[in-house]
Amino acid sequence: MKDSDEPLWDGCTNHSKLSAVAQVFTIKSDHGLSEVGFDKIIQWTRSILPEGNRLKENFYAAKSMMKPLGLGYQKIDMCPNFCMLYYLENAEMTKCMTCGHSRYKPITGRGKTLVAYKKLRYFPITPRLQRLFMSPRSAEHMTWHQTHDVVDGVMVHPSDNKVWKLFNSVHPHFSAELRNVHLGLCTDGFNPFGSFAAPYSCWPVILTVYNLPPGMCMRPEFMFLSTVIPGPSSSGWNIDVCLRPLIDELAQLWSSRALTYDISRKQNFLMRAALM
Amino acid sequence: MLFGWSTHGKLACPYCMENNKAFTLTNGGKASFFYCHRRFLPLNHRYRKNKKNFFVGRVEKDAASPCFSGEELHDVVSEYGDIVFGLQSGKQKFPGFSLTHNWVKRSIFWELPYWKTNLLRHNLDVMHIEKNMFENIFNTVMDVKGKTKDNIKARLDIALYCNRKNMELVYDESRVAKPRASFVLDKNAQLLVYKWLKSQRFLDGHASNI
Repeated sequence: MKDSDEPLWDGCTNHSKLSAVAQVFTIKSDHGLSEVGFDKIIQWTRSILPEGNRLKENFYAAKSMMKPLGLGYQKIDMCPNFCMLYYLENAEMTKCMTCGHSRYKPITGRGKTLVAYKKLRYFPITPRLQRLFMSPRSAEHMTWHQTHDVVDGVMVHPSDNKVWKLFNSVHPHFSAELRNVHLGLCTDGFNPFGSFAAPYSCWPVILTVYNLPPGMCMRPEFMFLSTVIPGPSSSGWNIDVCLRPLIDELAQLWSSRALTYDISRKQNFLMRAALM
Repeated sequence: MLFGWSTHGKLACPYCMENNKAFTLTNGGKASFFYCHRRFLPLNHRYRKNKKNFFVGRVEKDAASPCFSGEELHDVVSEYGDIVFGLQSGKQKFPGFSLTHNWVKRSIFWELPYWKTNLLRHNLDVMHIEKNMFENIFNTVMDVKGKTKDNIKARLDIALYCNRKNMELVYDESRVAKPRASFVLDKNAQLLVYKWLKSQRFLDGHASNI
C-alpha cells in the first residue's frame, strides 16, 4: 500500500509507483503483449523518465509488486489419469493409490525440485465473493435478485423462475438474508492452443453470481473462474475428482458461513452461498 | 455428465429415467422415442386412441411417466457404491447399466446438503441441442445428400411402424425408388432459401459456419 503513495518520480503528480505498473499491466493483458515485449516497453519508458524514477525494472519485479493485491490460487497436484488429488489427507503421498502412477516426474539433471505430472489450479471462491461486497460498485446490486420488480409471466432473470422460488421456500433461513449468494456453475472443454493445433482439452469451471442484475451477472468481471482442469485429454466422468476442492468449499459456505463486510450497508454479516 | 445419468441410448431422458417406451429401430438401428409422447396427453384425448395416424395399431393407455423428487433420487443413487475414479472408471459399470438404469456414478454434487431439494439437478446444453435440431431439420428439408434423416433405412422403418403409403419405397422390377417426400423443397425453392441466406447480415460473433 506504501507504493500507492509514492510518486513515480519526485515531483510527479498524476502517477504513483503502483498506478504506473497497473496501467502497463492493463496494456499487456488487453493486447496480449509478451513478457519480452513488456520488458522492452518498460526499459524504454524508464529511459525517457527523469533520473531516479521508481518504475519497476522488468516484468518479474512488477509482478512481485502486484502479487499481494491479487487473491491468489492454489496449485494442487493430481494423478495424470484423474484418479485422485494430492489434497488434504493425501497431500503427502507420492504415488496414486488407484493406478500407482508416480506423482512427480523423474528428476533429471542437477535440479532437485520435484515437478508434478499434472497440476490442478483452484481459485477459492469465498474471498472473491467477499470482494464483491467490499466494492461499492457491486455491493448494492447483490440483493437485486429479490428487490427487482417482477412482472407476472415475464422472466427477466433466473430468480423469477419456479426452481429459484421453490429453493427459497424450502430453505427459508437461507432466503431470509437477501445478501446470500446464489451461484451457477458451468464448464466446457476448450483448447488454449487454437482449434487446429495438437488436440488439447482443458476444462475451466466457471461460477456465475446470479444475485446480480442480468446486465451484470454475465459480464466477464463477475464470472469467477474457480477451477482449471488441465489437459491434454479431458477428464470425462472423472470430473468429480477435480471438483472436490470446489464442492468442499461450497459445502463449507453453506454450513459454516463466512464473515463478510458489506460496504453499501456498512455492516458485517455472515454470508452463505448455494449452487442452483 | 455432472448429474451422473448418462444421456445415451434408450434411457437417455433424465426425467423419465427407466420409465419410458423407447425402442430400437429395426432398420435404423438407433434408439428411438417415436410416438412415445402420447402418454403426456390428457387421458381422454382422441389422439391416444388413434390407431391409424400414429404408431400403427397401438393405443396409448399409460399415464405420463412419474417425475421423481430429489430425495427419492438421492436414495436410489446412494445405494450404489463408490466407483473408483481414474483410467478404469469408464469400464466399471453399476449392474444393470443401460438396461434398468443409466447411472454412471454418484455425482459429487449430492454431497451438497441442499442438492436433493433443488428442482433442477442437471443442465442440458440448450445451445447445442438447438443447433443439432436445426441442422437436422434443415438438411432434411433441403435434402442434403448424406445428411438428410429421410434416408433409405428411415423409409424401411416407416413401412414397419407407420401407415404412410406415399413414403414407402417403390420396388420396380430391378430398381428401387424413393418417392419424393412432401416436406422436401424443390430446386427453385431451395435456391430462394440460399439467396435469402446470402443476403443476411449478422452481428460479429452471432453467426458462424453458415
